[in-house]
Amino acid sequence: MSTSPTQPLRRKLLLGLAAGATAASPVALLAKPLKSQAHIVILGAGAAGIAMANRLRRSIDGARITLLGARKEHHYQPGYTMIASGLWPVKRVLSSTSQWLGNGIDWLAQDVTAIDARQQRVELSNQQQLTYDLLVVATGCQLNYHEIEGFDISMIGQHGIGSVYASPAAAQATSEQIDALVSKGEGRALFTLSNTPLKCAGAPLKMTFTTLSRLEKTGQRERFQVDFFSPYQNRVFAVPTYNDFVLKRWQEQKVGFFDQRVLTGLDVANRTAYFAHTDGSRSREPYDFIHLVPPMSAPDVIKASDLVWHDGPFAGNWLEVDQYSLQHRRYPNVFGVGDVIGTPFGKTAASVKMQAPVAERNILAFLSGQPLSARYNGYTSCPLITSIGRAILSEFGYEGKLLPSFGFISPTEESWLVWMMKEQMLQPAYNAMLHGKV
Amino acid sequence: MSLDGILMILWYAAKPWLWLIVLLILLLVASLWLGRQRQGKAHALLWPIAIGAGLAGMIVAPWFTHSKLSYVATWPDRLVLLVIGIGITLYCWCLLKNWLRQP
Repeated sequence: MSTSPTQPLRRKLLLGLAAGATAASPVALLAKPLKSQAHIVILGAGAAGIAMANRLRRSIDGARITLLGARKEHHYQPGYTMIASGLWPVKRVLSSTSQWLGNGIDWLAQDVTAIDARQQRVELSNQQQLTYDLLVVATGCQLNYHEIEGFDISMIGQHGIGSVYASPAAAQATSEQIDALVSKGEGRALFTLSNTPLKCAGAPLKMTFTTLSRLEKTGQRERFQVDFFSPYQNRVFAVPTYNDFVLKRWQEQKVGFFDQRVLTGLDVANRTAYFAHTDGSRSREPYDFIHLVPPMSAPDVIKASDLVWHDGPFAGNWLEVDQYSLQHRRYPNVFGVGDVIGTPFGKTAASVKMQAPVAERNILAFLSGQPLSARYNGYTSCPLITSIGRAILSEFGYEGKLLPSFGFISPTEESWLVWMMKEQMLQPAYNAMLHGKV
Repeated sequence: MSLDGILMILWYAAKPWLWLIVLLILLLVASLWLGRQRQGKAHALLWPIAIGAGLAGMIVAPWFTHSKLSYVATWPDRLVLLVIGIGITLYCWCLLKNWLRQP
């Protein structure tokens, strides 16, 4: 960790009070609430922000916890692929943000517009300024659709364009575009992948597999051409075990694979996609349906702040944190959780489930002046749907190490049980996570 | 994953279905209570009906989850399906045992 920024005296005193009021070990810290009068500000009222707010509310007594995030509707994002595959109605992923928040959390339905990490201050969309003693950054990531030339997010659901990431409505519109392709009885479907870190990086693969299921169900699969375009060389997924499986399966399913090609633009009227190749050349591909994956980054407000990575692979784009402690590497009173953090893995809801308790423990340790002992191992989980009705439970961490949760479920076998977990059990697990119960 | 975590998730999974679970329990209790006076030995069809219901449950369970029977491929898949079948069989047997009696 590098140098600590100057902290105002009041906050030092508050943190000092907390340090004196607690037991020594992290286990003891969790056993009874820590007493602290710190003002904890959590940026982002999505899954990570809500989970952190509920956890800290229970584990800290006396602190003021302010949650910032303008969106009043909460979306269960892991359900988007189920909507876009024609299996779930939109309403199944909708709830209100307020219903997940426990008592004692001050939720301001405002987005943050500026962060001054040195002054420990944030500015909100209503011009209000808030100071904090401890900041939890859980804003989620930003979908940079605007980087695809000729495309606007309002085009999802028209002209054969789909994209599962944008919203529940966009997922529904994507499903309808796939239905239109199926109804047409023939045509070419393109699936793309962005060259940035992605949240739920398995989603583009799942969309390809479930679309294949829908095409196979017509009994006339041979009348449809399905092609996948990846920016990486012979790779569509970061973990070799699953990458090899997917590429082999697509070969069997006669999916065309085109690597080292980045989607740069669309000619929507003529249903043509433009790709840049790593060798500098360009190509144009006609389509009847295209599934877009937007480039992603931390939100602009993070990128414009001093909290962003200054160097390395995440420079300028993602929140700088230590990948194990989730503490900011230059501002020790800042922690990061969820899609916004610049770590090698960890942009799924299942990642948040593992990150939240780590961040919570380390925040308690920080407030009490103890060493930060909890470690996030990069755990990421993705029930990789390989066709409608079966899936592989892929769980892995840093360096692509497989981290299976259940000894009796093979991490490389397609299974109905795993599909059932995705279809029936993942949302309850997510809900329990929001409440900070798992 | 810890046992606590698994139980917590199971509880969250069961919550939306509590009405159905309570209904099935009430139905079973009512059946046992109302039929307790009926005399005679178990009808020869009791087990075949219960097993038939269990088998039917095993066949429709994958369909109920947007899947299909041919995707029940691994031993945990088969075990889950077997547990579903045995569960339905035993439930039906308990539900019907007082009503399917012969003198």
